[in-house]
Amino acid sequence: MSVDFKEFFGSGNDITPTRVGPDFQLILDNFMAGIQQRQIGFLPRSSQGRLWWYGFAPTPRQQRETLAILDSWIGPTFSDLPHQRGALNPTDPFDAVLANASVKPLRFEVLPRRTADSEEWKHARSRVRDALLVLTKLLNGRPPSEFDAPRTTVEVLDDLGHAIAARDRAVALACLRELEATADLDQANLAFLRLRLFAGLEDWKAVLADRDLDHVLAMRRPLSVTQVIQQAAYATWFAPYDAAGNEEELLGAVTALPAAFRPLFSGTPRTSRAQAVVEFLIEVENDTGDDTLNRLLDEAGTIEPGLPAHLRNVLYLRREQSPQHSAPSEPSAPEDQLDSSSESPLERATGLMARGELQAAIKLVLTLEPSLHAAYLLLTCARDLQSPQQAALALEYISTHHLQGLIDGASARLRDDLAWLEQFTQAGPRLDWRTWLDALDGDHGSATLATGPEITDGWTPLSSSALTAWLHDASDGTLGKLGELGGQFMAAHRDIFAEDGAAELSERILAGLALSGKNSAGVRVQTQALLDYLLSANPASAVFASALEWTELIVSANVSAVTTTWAIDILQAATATSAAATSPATIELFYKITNTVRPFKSALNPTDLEAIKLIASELGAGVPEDLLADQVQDADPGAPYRYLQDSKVVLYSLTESATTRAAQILRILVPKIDIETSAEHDGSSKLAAQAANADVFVVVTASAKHAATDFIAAKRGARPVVLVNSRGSSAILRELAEG
Amino acid sequence: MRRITTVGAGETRQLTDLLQNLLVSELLAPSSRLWVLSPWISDIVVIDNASGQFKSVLPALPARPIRLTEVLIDLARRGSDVRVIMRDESRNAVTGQRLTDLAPVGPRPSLLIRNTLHDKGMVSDRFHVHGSMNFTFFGQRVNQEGVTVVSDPDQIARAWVEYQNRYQLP
Repeated sequence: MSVDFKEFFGSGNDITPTRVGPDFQLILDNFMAGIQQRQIGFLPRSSQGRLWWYGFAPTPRQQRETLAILDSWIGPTFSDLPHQRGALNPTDPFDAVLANASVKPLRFEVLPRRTADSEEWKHARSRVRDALLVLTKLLNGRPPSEFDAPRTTVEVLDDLGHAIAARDRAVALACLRELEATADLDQANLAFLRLRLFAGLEDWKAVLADRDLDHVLAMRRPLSVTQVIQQAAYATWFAPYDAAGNEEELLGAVTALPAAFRPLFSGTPRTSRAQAVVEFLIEVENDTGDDTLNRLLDEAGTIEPGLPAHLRNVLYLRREQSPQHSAPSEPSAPEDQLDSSSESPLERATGLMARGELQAAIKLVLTLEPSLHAAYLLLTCARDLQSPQQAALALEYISTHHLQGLIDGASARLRDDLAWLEQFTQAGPRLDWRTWLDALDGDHGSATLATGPEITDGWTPLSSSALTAWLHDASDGTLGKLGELGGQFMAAHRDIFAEDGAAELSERILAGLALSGKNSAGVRVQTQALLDYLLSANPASAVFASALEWTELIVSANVSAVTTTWAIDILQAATATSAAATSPATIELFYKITNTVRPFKSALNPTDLEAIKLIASELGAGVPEDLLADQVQDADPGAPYRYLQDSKVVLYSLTESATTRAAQILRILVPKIDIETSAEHDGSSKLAAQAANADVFVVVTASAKHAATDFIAAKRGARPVVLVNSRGSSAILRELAEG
Repeated sequence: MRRITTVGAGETRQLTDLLQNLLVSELLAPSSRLWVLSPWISDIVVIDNASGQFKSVLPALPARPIRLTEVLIDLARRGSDVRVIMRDESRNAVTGQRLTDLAPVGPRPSLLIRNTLHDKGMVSDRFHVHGSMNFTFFGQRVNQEGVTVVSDPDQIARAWVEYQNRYQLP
């Protein structure tokens, strides 16, 4: 924080520090030194017989905190704080200069003003000066907050999971930065985590633009990371042609695939269309033999019935272009019949591994005489394949033939691979989401619960019915534990909550978050997302009322001077549906939340107050008077949005409650605005028209399908699209206020 | 991966040969990037071409001992992104100056000063040499050092990720 003290004690201020008494001079020196050291400090200004103090804080958070403390410390007896809330006077040239600071100073006038017939003003000035001295000593001398201590890696990863599940980019990136700064993770693991995060946000461009991608492609990486890159490559190069069934273009696209992406062939059984298409096309381009291609086609058939024929056409086209090849032989010949006489079995196995036929390579090696080469093939294939069955076979072969000694004396890489194999095949139940939930249920399995995303990413998500059954039977204690540790779980099962629209499921998770009593950014964004899923699923009145009760508990645990806007967002979302209008639970929630934010009323911004007034009028409730009394009289809440006057604005989000609320508030604040909301699917003519005609188009990427965002961007052409990375109406309004 | 330890009794043939082989291979086919991390660095001889033994593969190489800065400047001119990361020490000044002053025209190695640097290594697209040795006379010939050479693509890629994140030029 840089304050120009010369300017402050210049024009508009009658106080000259060198001309005041030595005691006051010392006080001013101390205040100025504190401000320079980024501490909280106060400076006086006297003009035309009136005295103001200006409070300087280094961060907006400390500024809000200082205002709340000043409110109690100086109070209405000696200041205008209750009315002016520390706001600067924009019409005063002295204040106008100060208003340019990144953190605006707080201003209050010492009351009563100077009068000829009373000496009380002298007493007030001395009391305020003494109070400020003590206040700064206490504030700047207090021990550092325990909340400044770095959080554990598990806590941050949990928040990261919640942020990915709620598609909140801002919170997710903040978690990643926190991990980079404080967690004991090496750079390769951080790079893997970053790629997983971008995949969770479906930001394929960011995956491909990652600074470490080239290196990640060159290194041995977890299967889940390979799948993320495959998905990104598919979305970027192949998806449009694949969806349109355009095989010729698809073949052209694979030729354009950069060479660095050729190692994307994983050799593992394929689980998605993207994976099947990418791996098949890479193998076609690599001119791989018919056995591998036939196996890939068979696997593609298990993913989607029509996919093999589509891919086979691509292969025919490729072979037409290079006619020395024949069409793929229909039934693939068994591996052992493809032996060419000049090749030894070990060479054949090496060839199979090089072509990505990992299972076939392992199968062949298991029949051979033990040797270091055989061990190398087994270890490499088993590690890349990550299949428990194949890993167990490989380890059994190595143990039976006593190859450990040979491996120990060979190379660090083989030793490392053997250590991995032993760990991977360790006796005990295979870990998956079911065992993770079992661990939540009992006192055992704390190691399972602390499993990081590197492991959990490989687990198959539970089915909707299994999840419903578990949540239905879970005790309050278990649900509380899920609320405390469930970030990665929610990230893995997001689709069930988002797509199925099962209100009861969201209500149970909200209960878990409430029972955990947890206070974190991840919990806050997750609450917003769950409320959104719940409300869009037309919940029964009992489920709705129960969800609001849990929400109120979450709000109580999470509210603070810096989260009041989030609390108001929750209130806006919960009251924006037709279910809310008829439920008595809604009005209860309104009073509970306004009561909860009351201690932090000075942190409420003018837009929050507008929102409270709007909801109160809808519900026929009264706004607590003290909240409105805090509204600065001459402050204009609509000023940041004035530039939108006479413009056509479209707000796009699948979270309709957020866009509805944001639109309502903007209509109040900017009278001549033409505003529409949209939750249309991509490709609809209405969305196309809105995208083409709007002056300002806002897309909430945290609650929009990727295809819709691309569709809107394409229709907008060169005109900008305002992207909002968080849910909630405040995020939309904040982005618009920043222009 | 290969581990070489030196006992400090004069120049170690293994280490000298290793550096020479790696850098000659770089001159033959320059990597896209080559970074040298050495808190203390001096212009040591890295290729012994006194009798012109590399004439057949590198005809342009002068028949004399070739110094580290010469190789790095040449690699930069051949299109490699050469970066030298070192401390701001008076002992490093001569090498730093040679890397920049002797290459007044055309591409030249970038210098990055990190006064807390204690990591030592050299990494290209095809190898990663790391250990306790500074690229100095004492490191090469006097001190007892342990140096590891890695050619595994996985480990080289991990080293790049680590170095790029730690020492990326602003």
